[in-house]
Amino acid sequence: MASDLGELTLHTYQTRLPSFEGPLDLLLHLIERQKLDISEVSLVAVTDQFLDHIANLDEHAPHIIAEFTSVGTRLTLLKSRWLLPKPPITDDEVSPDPDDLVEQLRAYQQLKIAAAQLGERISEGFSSYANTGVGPVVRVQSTENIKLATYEPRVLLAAIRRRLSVVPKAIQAIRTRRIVSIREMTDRILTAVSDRGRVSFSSLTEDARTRTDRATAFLATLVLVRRQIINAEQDELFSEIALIKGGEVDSDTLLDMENDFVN
Amino acid sequence: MSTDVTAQSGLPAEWLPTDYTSEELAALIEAVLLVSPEPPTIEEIAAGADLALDEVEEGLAHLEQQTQRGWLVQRHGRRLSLATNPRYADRVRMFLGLDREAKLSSASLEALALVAYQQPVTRAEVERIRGVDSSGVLATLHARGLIEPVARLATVGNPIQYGTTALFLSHFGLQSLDDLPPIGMINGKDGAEMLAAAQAETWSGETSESE
Repeated sequence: MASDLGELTLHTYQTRLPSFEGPLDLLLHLIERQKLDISEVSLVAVTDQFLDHIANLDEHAPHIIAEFTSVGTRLTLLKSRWLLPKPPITDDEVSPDPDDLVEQLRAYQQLKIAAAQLGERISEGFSSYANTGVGPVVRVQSTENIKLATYEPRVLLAAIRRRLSVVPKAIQAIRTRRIVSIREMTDRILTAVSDRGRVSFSSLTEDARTRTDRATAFLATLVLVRRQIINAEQDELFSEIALIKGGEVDSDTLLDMENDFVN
Repeated sequence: MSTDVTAQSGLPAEWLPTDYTSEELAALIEAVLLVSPEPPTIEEIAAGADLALDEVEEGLAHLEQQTQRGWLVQRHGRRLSLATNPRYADRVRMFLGLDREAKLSSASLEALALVAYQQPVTRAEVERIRGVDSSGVLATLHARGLIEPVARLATVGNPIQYGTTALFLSHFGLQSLDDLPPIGMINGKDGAEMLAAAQAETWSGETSESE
């Protein structure tokens, strides 16, 4: 187990430490490490190191190896031309321009510098924000770790009840005022008059809570007076009305009077 | 210019200036940008606020000099929008409850830098200059909303050309692409020209790649 780990670490070390984005990245690294300018000479100088690196690429994906190998062949061609006496150039042979790689590498070096400048802006954290219409979000500074599981069922139940109590119920009671009917008022007047013989109108409406109740009492009085069931006396305008017991009341009269109200 | 407005608002004619100064033009553009639901183009501002195009440009030039404000005017192509001053990015992030922008890998930065400086740029051009497969990197940048397809190149396969987005400007706290850090000179050669030459090289000779 321990030896496995050791091997793994060594393997990771070898392939990861020089972690390059691609062959140009590696090439640039090799040249800059030797403090060379990008030129044909320096390319030739690092060719062997580059080929060594390719030899260690065994376990990479084929397309990555292909990318490195492609640059490797160009380097090898470059170096061979540098070392060997130049063969006569034949017309049908089109060989890659050695300067091409130099130019490509310079452009890549330029790109790396530009990328590093951009990267600096990010690490400085100098972003700007547009109004996205989301609105301000105040970060909640919570000091405790809230975990649902830490609550007892009793606490959760209480919380749910509290929440549900806010939810409106399906059937709601509507407050209604009790209305005294004329029939009811008539009974009340008749009882008072027959008990005491003579009552004042104001005493009948003493416990009347609303104007409507008083109006009902007056209406009932008028009906009773018309039917001559009671008599009414008033000395002068707006003075107290006295209600006096009239003739005998039979059930027919009362039934008849009931019809008055219905109509 | 101001007569109609005066008639509608019932204000005395002398209340509205007949000729706006640069400062007033700048303030007017700010006001328009503040109420605009979408980033308007320079032309839309001119038409909508009854200004001449060069008046809008004059106001913008004035705005771009002002770096002390809490906001800046961001220019994405012809579109303008208000964005917060990068100087206060930390506090604005705090206020919005945002985390710091995630860092980009060096591969992503290389691809993004090329798109930013040389746009529009195709995948083949990115790969030509980086010398390595870049499809995954470009897909990531697209998914993060930093680049977007802007056109198709008139060549074999009509490859997609990418450009940077308004989010890219915000992400890097830039007012416009002109605000990108300048590419310097290397070995007596202009860096931007070098990149452009390498980009053009993609489509010449045997190194070109069909999509």
